[in-house]
Amino acid sequence: MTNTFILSGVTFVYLFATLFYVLRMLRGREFWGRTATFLSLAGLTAQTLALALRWKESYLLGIGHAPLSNFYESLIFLAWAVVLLYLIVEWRTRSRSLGAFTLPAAFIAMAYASFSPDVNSRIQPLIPALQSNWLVSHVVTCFLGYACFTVAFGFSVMYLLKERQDGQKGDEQRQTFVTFIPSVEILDELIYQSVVLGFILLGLGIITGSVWAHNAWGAYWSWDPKETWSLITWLIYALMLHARLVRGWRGRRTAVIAVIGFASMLFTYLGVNYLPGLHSYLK
Amino acid sequence: MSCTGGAAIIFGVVSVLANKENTQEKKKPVTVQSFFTSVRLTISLLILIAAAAALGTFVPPSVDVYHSFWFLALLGLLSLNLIACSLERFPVSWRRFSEKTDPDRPRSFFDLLPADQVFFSRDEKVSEAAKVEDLLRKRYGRVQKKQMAEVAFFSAEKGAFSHFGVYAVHLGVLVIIAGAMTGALFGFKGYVNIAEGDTAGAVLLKGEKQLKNLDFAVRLDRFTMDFYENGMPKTYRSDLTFMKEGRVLYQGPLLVNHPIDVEGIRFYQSGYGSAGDGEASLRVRGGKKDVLKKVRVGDRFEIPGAKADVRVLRVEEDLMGMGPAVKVHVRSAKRDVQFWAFHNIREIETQNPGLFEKVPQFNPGLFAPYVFELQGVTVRYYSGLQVTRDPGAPVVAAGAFFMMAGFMVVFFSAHRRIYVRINEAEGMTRVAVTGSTSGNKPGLEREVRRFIDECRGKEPSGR
Repeated sequence: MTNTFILSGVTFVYLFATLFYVLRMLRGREFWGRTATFLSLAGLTAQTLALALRWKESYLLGIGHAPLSNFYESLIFLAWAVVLLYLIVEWRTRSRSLGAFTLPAAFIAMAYASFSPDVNSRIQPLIPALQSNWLVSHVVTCFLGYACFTVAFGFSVMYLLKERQDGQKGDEQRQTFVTFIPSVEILDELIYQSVVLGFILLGLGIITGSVWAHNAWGAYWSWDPKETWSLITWLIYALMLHARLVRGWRGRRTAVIAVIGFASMLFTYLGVNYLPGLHSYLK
Repeated sequence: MSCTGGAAIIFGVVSVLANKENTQEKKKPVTVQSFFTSVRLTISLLILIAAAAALGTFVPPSVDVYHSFWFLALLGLLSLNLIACSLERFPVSWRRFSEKTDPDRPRSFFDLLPADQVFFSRDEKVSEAAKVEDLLRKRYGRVQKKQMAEVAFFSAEKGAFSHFGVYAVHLGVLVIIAGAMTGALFGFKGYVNIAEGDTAGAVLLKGEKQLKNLDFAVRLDRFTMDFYENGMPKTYRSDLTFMKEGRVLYQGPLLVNHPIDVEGIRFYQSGYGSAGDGEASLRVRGGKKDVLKKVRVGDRFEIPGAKADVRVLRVEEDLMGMGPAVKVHVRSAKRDVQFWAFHNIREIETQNPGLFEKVPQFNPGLFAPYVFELQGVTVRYYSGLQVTRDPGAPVVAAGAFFMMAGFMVVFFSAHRRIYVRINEAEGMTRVAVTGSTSGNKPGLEREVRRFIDECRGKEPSGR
């Protein structure tokens, strides 16, 4: 299983990328930032190769399927999407400070996947319920959506930190750190954009899921806990976007809702598995 | 929570929130219209629906929040709110969509522009105006213009339809709710277990204790399972024959993820099990001649020479993970014993030394000198089929499509207008470009910049 070996290595690459992004903000030397960007890119490349390899290995085992079928694979894909999304934002905004708040999420997901005893990293065959063409589109849309919300959460934390410092004077060390955070206006726009993208993707994820359920379970909607919680998460972001477009909510309020939405997303992803339901094979 | 209690709380919360909006803004009395068109009502409803949905995942399924009166009342209120808001705002959007842009803007509109939105050209005013008009037409289609001796105005627009995105979203949500109601009213969801070889003509409706007759019959010809090398299930397959008035409507395999549609009714592979009437092959040794029997639950036979009567109490294809087993009740004039005969009794005994002392009824030789040997159990499976009809499903799909299309318009398009003024200044031709948008400013600024670059014959710059 070369792929899991590479993937556990990538975990450490993301750890170091995180540390260097933070170091850059503490020391104010761009060298650390460039190193961190390089590490993130290298990690993403290695991870992409490992995913391709895992896909190929599944075919060699005679049970070929895309590496999106169990908990381990979903964590890896989530981390992959978070890093990809972050690097796009870094390239578009030319700001490396965002990395200190998004790369840790990728590291945690990878570390949980690679080192938690509860997560089985073996390539498993698909049980009958998962043998569907909808598997890939459902998982990809949902997890790209999750990645957007994760990134939006990172930006919201930055927003709240920045806003707090704008209001008061802290000690020297924290100030250097916080001055590297982009302006609240930029963060507000980034939160909005990533939430819009996540909202559309999760919407598509819910729709592809219902089409699949319509073909597999005999009902497009069964109020299964996972379905219900994905709808709740989606409604929370719907509320935020609606209030923003109609009532002009900005800044702190949207940042706080993005944090609540992220908590709901985590519960949809992880917490729901402890409730009985149709998605229980994800355990 | 009782129905009425829940409903009262919801109405209380909603009206308090809706009231608050009114007291905050203007001291207007709450009318029926202002209640239903308030944005705060929408926000409160979204919060309440999310909270109720969350509650439903923690209470036992028997409570069934999602079909309770008060949950449906919330959805009903949301529908009314959507309709009321849409009706109230549609005329405004229509006006914005259809109103002609007036290219003749006041001086101040163009004079206060930042330097990068103004450029000078050595071309004559007339030829510059022709060039601008041409470019605008290429980019935006229709161009409004007003040309006078010393000044020319142009305007063009795109994305006017973006005012309607929000209505597509609202319509989508309403259509989804309508589709769900259609399904609940005119569809059904049932379940039927059919054993191999048996035929069913009715299904048990979900949540009710009544049967629904189908217009045709379904026969399960065979149920088969297939496993991967590691023991995980690979395939569940029911070979079905659908029959009506003696002729075959359809015959084919039903697999998970591959439902079969017959006369508007869908069949899904959703479960399986043993029909419970497995046939056991028993051999009774110890007499002059071995007795060989094929038996089912309830069957009786005699052991010749022993004057004993054997009754089969249970036939299990896998008892507690120990493989096939049969429970028999043996009675003679002197003795009356019940015991199990396992197919794998040798292995079980090796793994559990002293088993027969500890659990005498696992001893197949309890009716000595006879020993009961179970040679095998042939299982008859049943297949569990989910049977549904949902005329609302295509409606819900259409609603979802409207909704997503509406979101695309709302988030990724904007009504942008571009205004250009061309006049002569300092012996050159002065071109001023500006615009307005219903969406985000940076997008408009990019658009204006790109247009200016194009007018000046430059490669579009920047991101």
